[in-house]
Amino acid sequence: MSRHPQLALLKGGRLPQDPLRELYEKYGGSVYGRCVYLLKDRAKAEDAMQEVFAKAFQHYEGFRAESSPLTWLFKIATHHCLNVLRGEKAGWRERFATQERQRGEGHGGPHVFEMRDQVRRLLARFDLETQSAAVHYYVDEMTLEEVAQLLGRSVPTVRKRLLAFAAACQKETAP
Amino acid sequence: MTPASIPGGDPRAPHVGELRLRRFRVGELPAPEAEAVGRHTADCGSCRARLAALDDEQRAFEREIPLARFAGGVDRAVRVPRAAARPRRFWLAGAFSLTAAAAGLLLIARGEGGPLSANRTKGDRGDSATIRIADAGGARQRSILPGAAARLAPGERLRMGYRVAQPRHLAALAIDDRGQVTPLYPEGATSLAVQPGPGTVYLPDSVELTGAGRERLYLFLARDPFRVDDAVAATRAAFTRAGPAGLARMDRPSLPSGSAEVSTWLFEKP
Repeated sequence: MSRHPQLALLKGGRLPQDPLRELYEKYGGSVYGRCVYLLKDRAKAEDAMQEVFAKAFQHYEGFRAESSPLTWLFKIATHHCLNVLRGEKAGWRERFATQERQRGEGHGGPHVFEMRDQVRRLLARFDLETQSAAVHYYVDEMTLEEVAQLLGRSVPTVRKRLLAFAAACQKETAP
Repeated sequence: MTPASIPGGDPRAPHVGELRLRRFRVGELPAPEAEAVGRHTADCGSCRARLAALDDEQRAFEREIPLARFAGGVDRAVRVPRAAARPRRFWLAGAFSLTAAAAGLLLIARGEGGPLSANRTKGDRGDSATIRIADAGGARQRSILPGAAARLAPGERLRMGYRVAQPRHLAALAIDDRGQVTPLYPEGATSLAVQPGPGTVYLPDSVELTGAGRERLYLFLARDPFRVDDAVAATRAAFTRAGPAGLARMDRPSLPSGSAEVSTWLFEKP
């Protein structure tokens, strides 16, 4: 395995002997799953995952100092993938027209899959911050307070955005 | 909970929320919270099943993307900011299948000397280039000098390396028997600035030459920045000048500035 030059520059603390292996074994499946969920395309999801871990690797000391490295990774991965999708607006809608079941989505049962599916379908209608809030709230099942802290916004602001999202869902499911 | 629910409170009470369960799994929760989640999952079949599914998710990920491939991709993403266009997977087969031990030989190797030094051809200005060829498993490797020809075995992949004594500007491309030119590196329109260092630096991503016939690879090292399109045009012009002899008789492509060191290798594809 390569030894990136930046490893030699990290000072202080006790780094594991193989930071990349730790990232891979602890967080790889989760981050990749998040990217697959949002991007649908596994090749693009792999690219996105690599970008996310590259960010973590480049800021490894800070990353490990986070109270929740996994939450940090999810925030970065979600933001990155939503930005990728925003750059592919038309193609994204077409791809969502022919969805397929993804690994890892069935573990909660069909109702969980449908919920995550509905969230993903509606994301395109909203701004980036509402998209992030919806993913963290409905998919990561964070509390309002946790979502607000993660996005650096107030609870009332996050609630307002999620209410708008919930209204869209209600409209979609209304008979 | 459904997305139509009005948000507030713990979305998944009385069960463990998705992210909290993931954090519990990797040991991130504070001790009191971890104990509470542990007690809950011991008693709750649904949350226990979800936890087991997260283990399955990680195992499936490791089967789909081995560590060496993951490490290679992250390494590349750190060193080469990804352009808007996706990498050409047609070319990127090799590095992903290497074992971790073998990968160390082919990834960035500043300070590497020894056997590879003997395989370099020094240019007038102290610049040199080499290609390393590895089999599919990465266990067997060989180097090929500029100007030489080689027959590739099925599954063999190539890695281009350079060593420069002064700052230079680099581009690499390939041309096949039909005269079709494919830029290999960089992905953008302008040559890549490279710096001098103590050892051979290998370009990220290995190259697998697919199809039949022959392919000639070029590595341009110039004093000044240049457009990749100019290198492509110069290569096509050299192919045209070679006439029926094609790749075997191509003279060196010449950039408009005329100041590039050009290394070339000819490969017979499997």
